[in-house]
Amino acid sequence: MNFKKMNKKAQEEWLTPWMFVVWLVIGIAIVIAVSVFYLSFIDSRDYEAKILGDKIISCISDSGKINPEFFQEFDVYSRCGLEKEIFSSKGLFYFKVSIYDVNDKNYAKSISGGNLDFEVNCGLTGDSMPKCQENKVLVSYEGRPYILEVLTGSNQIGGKL
Amino acid sequence: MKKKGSVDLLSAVVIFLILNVLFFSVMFAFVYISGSKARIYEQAYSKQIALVIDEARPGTIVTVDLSKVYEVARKEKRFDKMIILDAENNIIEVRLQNAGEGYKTKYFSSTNVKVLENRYEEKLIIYVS
Repeated sequence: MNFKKMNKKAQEEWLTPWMFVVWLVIGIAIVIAVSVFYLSFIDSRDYEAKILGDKIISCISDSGKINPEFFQEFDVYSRCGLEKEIFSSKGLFYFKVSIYDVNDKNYAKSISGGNLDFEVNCGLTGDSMPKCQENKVLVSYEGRPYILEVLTGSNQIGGKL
Repeated sequence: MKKKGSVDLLSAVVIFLILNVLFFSVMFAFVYISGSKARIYEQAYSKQIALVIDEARPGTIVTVDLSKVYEVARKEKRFDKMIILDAENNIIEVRLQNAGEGYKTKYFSSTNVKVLENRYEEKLIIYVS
């Protein structure tokens, strides 16, 4: 009788409901860990914003001097080698170019393009918010010093598009 | 009676072991299937190539090493159209698996881009003009 009880106890120790609970916990942990690792994305938005900013600065100014055409009819897209269709109002990229006098701080000219919501969203934090870069360069035009301010942003996650 | 008790204990141990093996096999299979490196390499190379195109000045020729891409694609039994350039829509797509779509990244540069795969040297040559 004692032996029977002992065997029954041993049997219960091998196959208990807790075993299934432990498996469930292990299974969920593995699924979550694998999903987090393989669903994570490589964030290149900062680099895209930086490249866009550098590209715009280098086509507007040369050796610290503003391209005089900037104050006339200036098509940023064709001059800076940017694809206009990519910079649509609901697009993934944004830029804002402002130029102002160092002394009186009045804006001499300002141009923007792309998804204009980024102007506000750039200041917000969160994974779904765009990554932005702000560059300020001291330039001169007809002997007067100006500040060239370029704000660029990207919110390209990539994938199926 | 003693024999029956031993058999019960033995069968409990056997069932326990079988269930354990089954559970861990399922877990290994899940990790192996979902743990394909292809998706990560598709994403990494798609973004890398798009950044290269955006940063390149007209007249530049850039060579990108694709040995890792070819290695992963061979494992996935994909042998052609791994790097797809959609110049009309400014999209670079890297597809290393036969099933599903590849990973697409947009580039904003309006330069004229051509890509050529050198399969012998496992390199991608990007012409930006």
